[in-house]
Amino acid sequence: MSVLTEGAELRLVEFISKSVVDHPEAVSVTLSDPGDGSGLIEIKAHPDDYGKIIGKRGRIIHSIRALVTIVSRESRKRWNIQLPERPGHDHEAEDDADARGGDRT
Amino acid sequence: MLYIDFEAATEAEAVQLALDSLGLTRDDITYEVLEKEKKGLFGLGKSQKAKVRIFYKEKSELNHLIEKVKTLLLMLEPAAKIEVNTSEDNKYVISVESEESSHLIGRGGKNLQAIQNVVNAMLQKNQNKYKILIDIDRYYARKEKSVIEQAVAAAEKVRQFKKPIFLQPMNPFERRLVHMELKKMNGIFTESEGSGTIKKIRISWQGEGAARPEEDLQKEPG
Repeated sequence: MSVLTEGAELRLVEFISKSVVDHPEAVSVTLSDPGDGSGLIEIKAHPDDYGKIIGKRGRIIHSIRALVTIVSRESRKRWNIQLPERPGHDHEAEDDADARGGDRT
Repeated sequence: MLYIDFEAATEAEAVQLALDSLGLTRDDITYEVLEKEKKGLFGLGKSQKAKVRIFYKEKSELNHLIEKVKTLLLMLEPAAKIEVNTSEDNKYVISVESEESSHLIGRGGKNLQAIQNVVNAMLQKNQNKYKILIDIDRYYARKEKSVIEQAVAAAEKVRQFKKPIFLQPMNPFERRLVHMELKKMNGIFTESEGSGTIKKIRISWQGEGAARPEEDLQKEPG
């Protein structure tokens, strides 16, 4: 039987984020758990690095979410993993670019 | 354990020189003083430089990467047994064995794919010089076997009822296996349908001895 210690989710998210970015020193991961099932893990990073953490079509951030569910299988907690909203970032433009980029999934 | 000798005016300088040239930190090495520095007496006599022998483990980019992947896997499953195998040049298979492998693999290999995605993202930082495939409890071998078995069973039905059958959606690797395997069966014709990387294969009956279109396999990338 495996033993997963407290805070394993936070350490996992921090480890992965730091491993995929160019500025690991700028990564900070915070966790808030009010205990009502709305636990939140927030990743902050160097502005140039968000794309790396998100990945093409969100592949990396989705994978991080999947891996967190592996770690939290025993505590049965659900975590909401978020990146800060970037001010001035045009989501629609990105969606258009994705559509033009064709099917890459 | 490897070692290199370094010389400098003082012991501390020699060690620092070694760390700088090897790109290691103080924790990575141990050393032994071969010769202590000596100052000439009143500027007379011979002064001698300090000489140290630095012992270090080779810490290549690759080892570093493999350590990272192992750390990741152990974070997911602390009791996992991890083995690293080299298959070809710069291709490595990291096999994981664990009682919890069903969680690590996930439904339809979903979690395994997530692990692989994260590992690929780590590798990208090294310009994709290395490839590391994560295999959990021989998942790929088992998957391969079951895909082929299902395809052959479906092809037998097609042969019997002379009606086309669709297989479940599959990735390029699995489709390639099916195409290759069913090519051996006389009268059976396979074709991928759909768009994107995940497509369905249609198995249809062509009749014994009919000319076999060959281009399907070649069109199918990897």
